[in-house]
Amino acid sequence: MFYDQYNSAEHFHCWYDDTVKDHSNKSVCNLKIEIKMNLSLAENIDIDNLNTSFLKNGYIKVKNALNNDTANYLFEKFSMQEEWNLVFNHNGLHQDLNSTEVAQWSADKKNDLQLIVHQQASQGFQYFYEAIPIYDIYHNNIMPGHFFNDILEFLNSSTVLDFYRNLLSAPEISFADAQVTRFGAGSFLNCHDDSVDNKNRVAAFVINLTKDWRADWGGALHILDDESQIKQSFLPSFNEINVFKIPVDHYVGIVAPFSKGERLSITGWLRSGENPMRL
Amino acid sequence: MTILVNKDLRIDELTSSFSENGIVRIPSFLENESAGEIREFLKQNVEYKNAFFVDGSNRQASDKEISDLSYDTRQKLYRGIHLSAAKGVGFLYVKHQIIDDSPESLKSILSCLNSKNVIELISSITQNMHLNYADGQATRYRSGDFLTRHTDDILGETRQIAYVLGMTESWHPDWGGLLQFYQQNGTPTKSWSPEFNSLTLFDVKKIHSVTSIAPFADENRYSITGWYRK
Repeated sequence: MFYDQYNSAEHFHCWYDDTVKDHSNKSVCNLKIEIKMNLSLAENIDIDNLNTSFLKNGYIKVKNALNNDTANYLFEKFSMQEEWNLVFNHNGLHQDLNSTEVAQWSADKKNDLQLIVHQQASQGFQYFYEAIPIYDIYHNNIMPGHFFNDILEFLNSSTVLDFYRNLLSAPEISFADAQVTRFGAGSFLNCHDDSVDNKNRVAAFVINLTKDWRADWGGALHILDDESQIKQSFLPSFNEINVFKIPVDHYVGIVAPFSKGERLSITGWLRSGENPMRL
Repeated sequence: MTILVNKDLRIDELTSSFSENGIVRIPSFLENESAGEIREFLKQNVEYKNAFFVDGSNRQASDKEISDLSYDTRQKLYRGIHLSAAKGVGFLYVKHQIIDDSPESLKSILSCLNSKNVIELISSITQNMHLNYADGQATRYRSGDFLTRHTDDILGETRQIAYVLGMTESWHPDWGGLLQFYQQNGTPTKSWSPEFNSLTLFDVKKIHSVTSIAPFADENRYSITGWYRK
């Protein structure tokens, strides 16, 4: 199924350039007060038990997976993050808009966008949420010095990759790609199975960084069985990693129109083989 | 309308599943023809009323009563419903309580659910020997409708087992409207997408919800739902 949202630089919009400029100014000002965070996993994760469960079910949740300071740091950074891409699909092509610009649109123009998005959603694959493609940002060196790069490096550190290799019994994992995502009221990601030719995706992961979510607000990750029945639902949570083997049908249920929260996460794929961005 | 129950149910399997989880879904509960007739009737011939929770109380209003409101009043009403739902208490859907004045077809569904055979069947699956009769309502959830987490064991009520007879065909999970069960802390334990002609039974103490129907759902979510009571 088609779901491939950040495989090339063609998706970049000018706001990144603006941000680069902004950021270089800011970083000069902030140099003295900004302490670089040492991102790390929690200690004492019971990998063996989790591994058994993963091998049995094809999915696993790891509670309190990150070091607590790391989780809080990421949560605070993303809570304050202003620039996001608003992403959706149109006739099979990935689209991204500058989210803050869309917020300035007229009500009519916003309605038109909803119509286009929903029309496709009722018939098949569609998504609507905000994202930051940190994998592309890192490998194309778009925002040098930005903490997004630290996240990508952390996810690709030998500690984290070894954690996943052991958790999944998958020594072939060689790198992780990732994006940061934010789902507010009305956001969703329809059913798909994540398999894309030549991507060598071993498993998908979601690092949940949402605080104070209420179950009624929706936005759960649902994993389906072969008969399209829901076999597992993971609600947004804080400092919990969900990992599942792919291909498997899954979706993120719509966030209720009355939700007051934002579902924040870092999500991506654990892949084998050469990282094509390094070639 | 004569409503007939599928004669080939795997009662042992269903019983052990209910005994383990306190919930069970019986696929293909009615004979196909009966289920199809009910589905068409629910779509076309039933007068529903909006049921919702706003400003601390349960309310009902016809579609006309709501569309007659001024734009501002209507917006304020929906904002009020959402405000309460955001804090965990709320619902919005349309329903028709099956009573003596209801159309014969709806009454025949309720008669079927109250027949000696069916009450024995439900008693056997749930191992509950106190079931005396079932009440029922037809419900329709449209885009934007929902029912937040709650339990059905209201003090002073005689409810024993809740049931949902799914009457929606060709539903897609993307569209929401899941019957979802939870632990006390909100962790989901079981989620069921609407399934045509399935009868879901659960202990009234189970925390459950109907998740929001997506704005892009191509269908309404229909069911007959109610409680087996003492």
